[in-house]
Amino acid sequence: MTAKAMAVTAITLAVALAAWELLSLLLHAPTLPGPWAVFGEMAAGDQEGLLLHLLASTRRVLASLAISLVTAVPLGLYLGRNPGVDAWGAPFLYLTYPIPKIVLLPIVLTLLGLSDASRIFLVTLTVFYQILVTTRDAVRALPAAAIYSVQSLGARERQIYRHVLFPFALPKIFTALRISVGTAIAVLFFAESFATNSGLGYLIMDAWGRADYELMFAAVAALSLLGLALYLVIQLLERSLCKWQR
Amino acid sequence: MLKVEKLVFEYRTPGRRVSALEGVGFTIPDGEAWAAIGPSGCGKSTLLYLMAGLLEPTSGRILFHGNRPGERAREIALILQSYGLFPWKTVRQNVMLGLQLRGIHGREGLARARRILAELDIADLEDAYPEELSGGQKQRVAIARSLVTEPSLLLMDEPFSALDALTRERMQNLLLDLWRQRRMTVLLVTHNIEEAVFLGRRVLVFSERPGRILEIVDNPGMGDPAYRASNQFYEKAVYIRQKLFSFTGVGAR
Ligand SMILES: Nc1ncnc2c1ncn2[C@@H]1O[C@H](COP(=O)(O)OP(=O)(O)OP(=O)(O)O)[C@@H](O)[C@H]1O
Ligand SMILES: [Mg+2]
Repeated sequence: MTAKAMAVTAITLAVALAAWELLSLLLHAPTLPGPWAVFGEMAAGDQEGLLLHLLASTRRVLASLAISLVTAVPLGLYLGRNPGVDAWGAPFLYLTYPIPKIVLLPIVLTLLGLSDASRIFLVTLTVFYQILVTTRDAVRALPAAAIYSVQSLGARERQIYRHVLFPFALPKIFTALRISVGTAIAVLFFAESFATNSGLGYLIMDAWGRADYELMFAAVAALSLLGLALYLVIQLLERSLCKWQR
Repeated sequence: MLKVEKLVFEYRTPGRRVSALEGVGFTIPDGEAWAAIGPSGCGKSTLLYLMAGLLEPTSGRILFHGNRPGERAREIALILQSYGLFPWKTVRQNVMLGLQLRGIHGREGLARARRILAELDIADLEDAYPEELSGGQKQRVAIARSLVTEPSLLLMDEPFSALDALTRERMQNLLLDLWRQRRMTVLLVTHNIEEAVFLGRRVLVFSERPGRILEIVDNPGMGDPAYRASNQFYEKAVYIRQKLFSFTGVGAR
């Protein structure tokens, strides 16, 4: 990050915290504790509990992102490269893409059980579509000359994927990933608020039920930080893997 | 020997057929550089794609040293109309790609890439990405990338058309030099009559689409860098200009 970007980030953060504190002072209700109270809770309260829940959520969201990437990217490259196959796959994709995956929660819980797997599956499904469609569309937009160029150098099909299709799609995959992180966290929150006793989603709902607003806000802040951290990691990865883009 | 016989090519898209080449034939002896010239859309790029084995002829055939291009693609290098460099690879990585795809890795590949980059005077650019280069520099990289594999047939599609007049002339001289040292077979496609006369031992003059060869113009003066300044050169250019315009009925550009 440049010095300027860091300064802007710091100012934005300070303004947001000040607004929060102000609102909390004005309302003066136990349902909206200010940032000091919340951070105090994070520092002084049941740190280990909060950390365990944060770890559970992190593990789930990372697993989902990883599974989505290793399945959706190759499939998207393949469909983009093979319009003949894509003609068969596309109708299925377009029919299932708009379904909000979150409404499948009851079905998934029934089929996969109340385990981690069902929550990971639900988040994966959401991210998977985003990445699949983006990757496929990216490859379809590749100018034919790029393929001719690598073929004229003697590339076989597998090498076309490695040297042209994948790097060409990579910046777009990162964009899709950045967009899906927000959705992934939202879906995770929902998936964790049912029939489990781990994860920040669970903690938020549980604290809410017990009217422990400091803890509830601490968990909300932790979930937000998780999203922010993922966003930053993706940014850093993109910087180092897509050096040709400025 | 590069032999093109009764070559016909049609682009087939659902519900449409575009006839791009119709009965094209010529034979280039080994080690000669030829040029092809013709109106836009007459099928010049298509001809090069066919010769590089990227498209299959609808009928007719191409034989290079007795093989179809697909079988011997490794001996053939093609420089595309828009350079064909990969923006995600540095100059060095672009130049090494052809070697890498032939299984030449590591130190040997790097040494060969550096040698050709130095020969083309762009050694200091090896870590740059194509977006950071000028048109002339990009063209040098594209030439380096195709020559590093030491092809025996070099196909070039309007390689210098995007360059300013000065850079263009410099690159034409460079190409002539490279050819004189290496004596690979060359077919260069161009829109520019002077370029065709400077770089083509014979010049294929094409009709409008579907492309047919109107005349194969002999150009014995080609090969001398000083040819450009001679009367003979000027007369040859006038002759080709007349051929092009009389056959196609197109006015002066
Ligand atoms: N993929 C394609 N599908 C259908 N028609 C095509 C395709 N590519 C080229 N054509 C047509 O085939 C003809 C020959 O194209 P080609 O690119 O070989 O021309 P060209 O002589 O290289 O033109 P230019 O000088 O403008 O580069 C053109 O009329 C073009 O419209
Ligand atoms: Mg062309």
